[in-house]
Amino acid sequence: MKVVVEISKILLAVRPGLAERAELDLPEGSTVADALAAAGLAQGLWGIVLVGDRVTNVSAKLAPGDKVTALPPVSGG
Amino acid sequence: MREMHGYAGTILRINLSTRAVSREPLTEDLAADYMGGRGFGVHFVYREVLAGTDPLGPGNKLVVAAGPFSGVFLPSGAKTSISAKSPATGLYGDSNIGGHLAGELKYAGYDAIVIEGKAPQLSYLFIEDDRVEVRPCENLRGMGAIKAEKVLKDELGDEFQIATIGPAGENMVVFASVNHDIGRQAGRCGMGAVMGSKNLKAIAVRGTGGVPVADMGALRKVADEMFSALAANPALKVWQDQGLAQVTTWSNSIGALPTRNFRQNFYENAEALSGERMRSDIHVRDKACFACPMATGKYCRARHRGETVFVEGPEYETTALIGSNCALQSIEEVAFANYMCDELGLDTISGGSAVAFTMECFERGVITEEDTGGIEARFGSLDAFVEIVKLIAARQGIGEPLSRGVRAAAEAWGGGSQDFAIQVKGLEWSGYESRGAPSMMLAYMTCDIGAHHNRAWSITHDIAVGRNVIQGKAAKVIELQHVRPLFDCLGVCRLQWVELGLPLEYYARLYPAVTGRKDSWDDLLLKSERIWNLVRAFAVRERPDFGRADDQPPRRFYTEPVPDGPLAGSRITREDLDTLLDEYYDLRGWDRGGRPTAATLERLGLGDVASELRAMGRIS
Repeated sequence: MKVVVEISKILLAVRPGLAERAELDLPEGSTVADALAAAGLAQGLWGIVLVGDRVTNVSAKLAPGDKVTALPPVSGG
Repeated sequence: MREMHGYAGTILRINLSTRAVSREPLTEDLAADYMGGRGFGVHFVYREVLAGTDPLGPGNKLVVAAGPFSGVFLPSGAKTSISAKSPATGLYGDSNIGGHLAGELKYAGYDAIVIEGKAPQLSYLFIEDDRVEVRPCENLRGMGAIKAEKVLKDELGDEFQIATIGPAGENMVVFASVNHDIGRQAGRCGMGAVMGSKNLKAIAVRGTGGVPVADMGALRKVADEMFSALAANPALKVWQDQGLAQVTTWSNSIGALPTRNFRQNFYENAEALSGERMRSDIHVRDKACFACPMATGKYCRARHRGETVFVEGPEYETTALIGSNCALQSIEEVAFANYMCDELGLDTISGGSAVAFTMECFERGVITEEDTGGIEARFGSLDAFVEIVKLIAARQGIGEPLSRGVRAAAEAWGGGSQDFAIQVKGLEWSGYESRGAPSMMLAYMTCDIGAHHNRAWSITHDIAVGRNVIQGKAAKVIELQHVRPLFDCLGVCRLQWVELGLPLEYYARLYPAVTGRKDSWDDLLLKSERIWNLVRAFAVRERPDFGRADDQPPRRFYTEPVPDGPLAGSRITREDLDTLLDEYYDLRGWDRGGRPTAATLERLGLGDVASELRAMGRIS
C-alpha cells in the first residue's frame, strides 16, 4: 500500500535530515503512527496529524493513496 | 520634526500624581538600540526605576509600548508590551497582549506611554490623538475587568481600544493581569497590580493618524508573500478550529502536562480537556487580533450552578494550570474558572498555580478547613477553585498570603510547602512540567522574568536530541532567548513563525521595509542580547545577593521522580542542574555566580551599565 507522508518545515528544522515528502510502501492495515515512524518521526515531535485535510488519531488505519501531514507541536506562544 | 519610519515618533509621559502630561521625541538612538515594545520597557525601567523602588509605590513606572511592526499591515502586528518593576519578583517584569491596542496607540501619535506617580482617586487615562486626560472613574471601582471595558466602550465608543484591570488589580494582588479586547490578558508579572497601585483602572486610546513606512512597495510584497504562505499552510485550519487549545493532548502524551500541582506530568482525564472537546462542547465563535489570519481566540460558553458565562478561552496555558493542575473534570469547568480569573483580573497561570498549591497544602494537612474558612480545598473541586480565587482577589483569609504568590504563601504556611511552591524568582511556573526536558528546565530557570515558557520553548529540542542529555543544551536555550523576545520588541506576534513555520527571513526583510534601517537579522539578535543582559543587570543592581540561587527550580523537581505516565521514574538531579547552569553562564559571558561580566556588558554597548555595577561592587 503506497502512502505519502509530508513533514512541516518547522519539524524539519528540529530534526534535520528527514525528507519533506516521503513516498512509503507499507503493509495493508498500517496506521498513521506506523507511517510516521517509517518516515523517521519519533513520538512527541509531531503535534497534530492530518490525513488529507482532516485531523486524525494516530491509531487510525490508512488506505492506499492517503496523504499524511505531520504538524509540529504547539509552543504556546 | 523628521518623520521616523515605523514609528509615531513620540513618547507620551504622564504623571498621575500631578496630572502633568508631556511629550518627548522618540530619539534615533532609542529606536535603533531598543527597537520598541519590550525593548522600550527595559530601557525606561532600567534607566528610571531606581534600585530599591517599591514596585507598588508611586516611584515605579509603567511602560505601555508598541513596536515598529505594530499597527502596520503585516501578519499580526498586534503586540503591546507592558513593563514595570514586578511586584511578583521585585525584578524587571513585562507581559504582552494581542488585540488592537498597539496600533491604536501609534495612530494616536505615540510609540509608548510612560506612566508615573499615583492618581489621588481611581482614574482612567483617556487618549484621543493630542487630547490626553486623567479622568476619575469611581463608578468602576470593584468592577470586573471585562465588564469595565464594556462600560467604557459604551461610554466612549467602540472605536476606542481599552485596557482595564479587575478587583485583583485594584487590590494589588501580585499576579493581577491587564485585560484588553474583551478577554485577552497581559497576565504575567503583575502588571495589573502596578496599575492598581497607581489608582489606574483603565487606559482608553483612540487615534486617527497613520504610521509612516520606509518602502511601501517592499512592505506590501513581503506581507503578501507572508499572507499567501499562511493561507497555503495545512495547519492554518487546525489553528482556526482549536487555537492554542490543541496542545493539551500532545503535552500529555509526552509527559509535560502539569498535573496536581506539578506532582505529575500526565493527566488521566486529559481527553476531557482537549482542544477537540473545547470545539465540540463549548465553542461559540472565533476571534482574531489585528491583521491575523490564525484567529486563535475562541469564545466559549460555560455553565456552573445555574450561571452561564462567556469567555475567550480556555487556551493551553489556562487549561494546563487551571485544568489538569487543579484536576478539574471538563473543559467547561476550566472555561468557567477561566472566566472567574478574567473578570477578577487574575493571571490564569499564577492563579491556577496558587489554587493547586493550596489544594496540595490542604490535602497534606499543611492548612486545614479552619484556615480556609470552611472551603474543602481538594483537587478536582471547581467550587473550591471559585471560592479561593475570590479570596485571593479580595485578599481575605487564605487569599491574603496567596495574593503575594506561592513563594510568599509557602513562607507563611511552612510545613515543607516551599518544596512544592512551583516558581522561579517568585513567578509561578507556566504550562510545561520539565523533569524530562532538561533544556526546557533550563529555559524556565533562566527566563528573565521568572518561570515563563515564552522566552525559550525547547521541548522538541529535548525530544530530538535526547531527553536525558544534559550537555550541549544551553546553546539552544540562549538562541531562543534572543530570537523569541525579539518579536516582542518589534511588536509582532511570533505564532506565525513559531507555530506555522513562516521563515525568519520574512521578518528580516520587513524590518528595513518598515523602518528604513539597514540592520541585518544578526544585528537585531545582537540588540535582543543587549536587552536580555540589561534585564539581568537590573536584577544585579537591585539586590547584592542576586545570582545563581535565583536561577533554581523548586526542590520537587530534583528530589521527586515522576510518579506515573510516559516518563514514570525519570527526574533531573542537582548535579544536572549545576551542569546546565555552568554551561549557560559560560556561553553568556557571565560568571559562575550568574552575573554578567564587565567585558560582556561592554561588548554589548552597555559600558555605562558595567561602570555603574562595578562601582557598586556588583560585578568584576
